[in-house]
Amino acid sequence: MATVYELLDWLQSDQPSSRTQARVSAAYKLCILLGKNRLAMFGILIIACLVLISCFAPVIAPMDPYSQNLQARLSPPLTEGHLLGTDSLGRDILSRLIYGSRITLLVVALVIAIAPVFGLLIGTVAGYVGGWVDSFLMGLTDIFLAFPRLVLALAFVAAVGAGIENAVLAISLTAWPPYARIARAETLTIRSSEFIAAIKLQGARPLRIVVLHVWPLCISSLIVRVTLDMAGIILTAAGLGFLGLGAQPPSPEWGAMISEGRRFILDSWWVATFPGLAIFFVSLGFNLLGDGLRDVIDPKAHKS
Amino acid sequence: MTLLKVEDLQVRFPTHNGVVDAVKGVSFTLGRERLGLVGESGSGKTAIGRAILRLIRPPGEISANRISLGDSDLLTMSEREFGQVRGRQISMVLQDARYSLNPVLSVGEQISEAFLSHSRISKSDAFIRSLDLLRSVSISNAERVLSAYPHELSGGMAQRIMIAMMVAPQPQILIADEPTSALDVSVQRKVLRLIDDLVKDRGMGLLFISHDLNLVSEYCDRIMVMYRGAIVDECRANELNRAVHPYTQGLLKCMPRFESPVQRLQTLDRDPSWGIGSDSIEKIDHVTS
Amino acid sequence: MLRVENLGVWFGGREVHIHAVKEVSFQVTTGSSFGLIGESGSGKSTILRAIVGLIRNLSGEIEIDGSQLCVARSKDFYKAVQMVFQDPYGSLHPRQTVDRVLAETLHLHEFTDSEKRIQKLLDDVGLGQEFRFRYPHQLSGGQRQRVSIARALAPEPRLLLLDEPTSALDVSVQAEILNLLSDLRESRGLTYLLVSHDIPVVAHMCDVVGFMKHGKLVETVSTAELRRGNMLHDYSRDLLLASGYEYKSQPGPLSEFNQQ
Repeated sequence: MATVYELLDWLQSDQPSSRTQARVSAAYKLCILLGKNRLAMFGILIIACLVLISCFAPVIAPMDPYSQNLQARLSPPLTEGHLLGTDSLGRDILSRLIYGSRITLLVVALVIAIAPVFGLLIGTVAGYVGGWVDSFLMGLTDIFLAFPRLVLALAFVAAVGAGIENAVLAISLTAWPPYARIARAETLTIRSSEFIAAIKLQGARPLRIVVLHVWPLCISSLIVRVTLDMAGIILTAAGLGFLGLGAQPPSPEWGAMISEGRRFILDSWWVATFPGLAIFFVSLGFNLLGDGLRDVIDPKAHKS
Repeated sequence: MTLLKVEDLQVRFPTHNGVVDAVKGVSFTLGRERLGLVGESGSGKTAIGRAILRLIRPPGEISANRISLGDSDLLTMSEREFGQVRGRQISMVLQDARYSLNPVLSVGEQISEAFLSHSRISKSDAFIRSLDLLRSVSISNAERVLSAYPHELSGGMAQRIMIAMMVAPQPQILIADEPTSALDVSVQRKVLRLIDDLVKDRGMGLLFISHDLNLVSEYCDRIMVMYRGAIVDECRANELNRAVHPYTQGLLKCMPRFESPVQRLQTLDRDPSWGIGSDSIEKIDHVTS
Repeated sequence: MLRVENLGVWFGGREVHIHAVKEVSFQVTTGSSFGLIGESGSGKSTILRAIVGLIRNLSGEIEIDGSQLCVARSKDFYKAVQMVFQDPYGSLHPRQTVDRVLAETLHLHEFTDSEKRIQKLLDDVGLGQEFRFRYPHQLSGGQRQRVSIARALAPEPRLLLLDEPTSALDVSVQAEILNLLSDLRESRGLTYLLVSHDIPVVAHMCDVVGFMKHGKLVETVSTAELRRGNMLHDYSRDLLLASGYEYKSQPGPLSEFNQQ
């Protein structure tokens, strides 16, 4: 027990004695704050489930998601061997949902890796450098913002061909402009602050200032925004799948599954309903987490 | 004559690291006088002013044995009744008036609005009264100021308008929380003189909250010194240099003196026993009774 | 040490100029301490920002040790001249520990023994080693200002520009910081250029004082003359008067109310 208390003391100390302790205890305090938010914890639970399910898909899934059994096609939920029923080709819906979580997670991960990073780069450079660079980059951002999201994604996929990778690129293409705007707005206030002036006086080059001093302050509000947007991104991915421009059959992408189920929606409601519920829960999870994160790490929310 | 009586006022703020006692059992009375409340940042001086007007936001808590204005008990009043007290009988002036004024309404609109909501008069009457009000705080080009927006005003001008608005309903007590800290010294004097004249003419009680011991000692009749949520010292302003508490003495000595240059300034050795224990509270009872 | 000749600073575009500083000339000799006094908007802080190159729109000459500065300040300049900012809450990066701030400064100035130097800097500014890994929100205003001073001292400058270093602090903390600055000046042989609106603070810290009004340097006097009130210009005298050091307290005119 004593060691647990020592560990807690070490984590909560206001007088950290090493670099690691300072970092770890700052992270620990954030976690404690986040832990107090029940809804955010529920969101984390959903996302953790998603991650676990996709990691252990082969173990959990009762059947092969691709194996067809035309004799058992469109069996309703709770039939023997098919907890959530089967689709029009007799594939087990539960197994397909479980494997589909991998695709959803892949989309989420790839979009996170592309859109916010690109937005951050454009936004901070525009905000920090100012002048004609700012006008040019923000003009570019405005052009992308002017297109409706799904239409731009559709146009892109139509041009380069359908597929999950292209769908991710298309979503990223439509997702970055808001991040660039946020990052620029933040940079404009950070740029004129005294700690930036102070580091300039140490002879630091602009690139160093942007990367080491401006980015860490923009990232928190971007993380919040990305998490909140994630629901929309998953829906866009599903929408592209639904329109047949995202993941291609027979891959068990949730949007594509709804699209298939659409034909039988009146007679076999379960084919479209279960993937729909899966999308709903994952979106909800990200939204709840995003709200919780905003309360904890967004400096502007603290002031109110 | 006592206007305001405060007994054993406590203000607490629960935080996730435990409860912070911002004000620990403060008692004082305010008559028709200028009472200065001096303390460093975090001493709880602002919390006192806000607690009297019930402006402490939850989760902050206020408790007291007694807060009374004349014969009426402010503690047991309903929120509705208190609305009649706040702004009408006790007013408050804050540090930077430009943040207290609504940025999207012109000054004239805001002042007339106050008149219209308090009494049934026509719009033109309200306008005339607003003009008079601005002239009463010696603003010469009152018409122009009325049509201006808060961001177009200088800090001193905005503070005058704020004071005018606060004093207009003829309150018995004015609480001024650092009314001049955001102003330049030359403007500071004028604003202080203005408050002084208004308070004097109307026989109001003034609770003047400030961090500036020099200023308060010149300006007020009586001074209370706060440290860590408790009143550690209280004296008449002109007897400040005879103050007994080591904290007050320390504060006086650590200021650079213009007239008497020194090589090194004295620093304040903070005694952890200051501000806790009941002796300080007893002493205050003794002085006020 | 520092010579400023005919300095002018303006803000705004090519068409609309606002002159924040006009025709300001003064000299600060090595080892001395020069104070600039003025009300808000008088351009006193702007002069400091112009000297360190944070503002580029300027005319006139600035010389450090006899060599004139070009538009882009060199690394050597920042080794010789450093600045302490007014706001202890705004001048430290909210996500960086004290250690990180000092380590980066030392790294930028290409010191290799930063471990030893960080320890010495913290000791020099009166912060113990226990403050080394704290974030700014774990420090009080006075402690933050000490960190700012340590950061400014890290490159071992000879001229320190102080922009209202104590105006955001309580008087008891102000005394500690002013003493620290005096001690550092003595032990390191620093030259100070101090900007403040507080006449007693400037008189305490400086040998020579300049009065600023509307972007112009109205008058320069020695502190001894200032104490005697020997100023030529009305503005300086008014400012001194307004600061209340000739203003004696009178018995409160409200006392008659109390007697009723």
